[in-house]
Amino acid sequence: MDAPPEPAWEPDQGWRVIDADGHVVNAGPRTLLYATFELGRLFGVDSDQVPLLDGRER
Amino acid sequence: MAAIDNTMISNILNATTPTGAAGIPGSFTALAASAMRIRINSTASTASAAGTEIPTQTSGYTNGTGWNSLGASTASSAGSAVGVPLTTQSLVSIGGVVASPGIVSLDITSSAGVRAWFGNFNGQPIAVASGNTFQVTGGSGAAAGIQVSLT
Repeated sequence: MDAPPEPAWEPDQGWRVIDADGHVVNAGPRTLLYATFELGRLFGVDSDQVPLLDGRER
Repeated sequence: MAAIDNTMISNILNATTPTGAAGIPGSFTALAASAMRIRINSTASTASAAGTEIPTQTSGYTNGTGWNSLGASTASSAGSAVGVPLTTQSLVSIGGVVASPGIVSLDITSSAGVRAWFGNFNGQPIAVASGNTFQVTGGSGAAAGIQVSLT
């Protein structure tokens, strides 16, 4: 017997689990991998004390 | 949570700062020029090490190889995120750790297994009972199931 057709993806689904009958039994949103180059990574403990050009401190 | 492997962080920093001779940019160690892969883990990856890779499954996933036909993602432009994979990825569970505790994290690696990005699946752990299929949606840009960004 042919395998059942796969269901369409729902909006914003990032992953899903399908059983042998083709039913979606679990699903989740997209996975975000992000990185931020923070000022603190560059200037260490003084990062919050570095004055901005307009004289304000962070 | 940072999502870049520590070695890659140093690679990027050194190549974009005056760490080379006489203050020139340091050299960038390029990844292997073959198709990149997704490694699936049953434990969390960290910046210093990948999680425990799942074993070879009934179909769709081989330990040590991972998902290796991701397709060509749309390139980042003006700082936009990169969506991975272009092509939907699937595996059929053999049970074991994939059934319980389940799938936890992923690494995006070179064909040689060098890690670039890592992170936990949104909603992990994902229990995939024996015989069931786990899929990550493929698509172009924001439609893909994994979004990689740098700010």
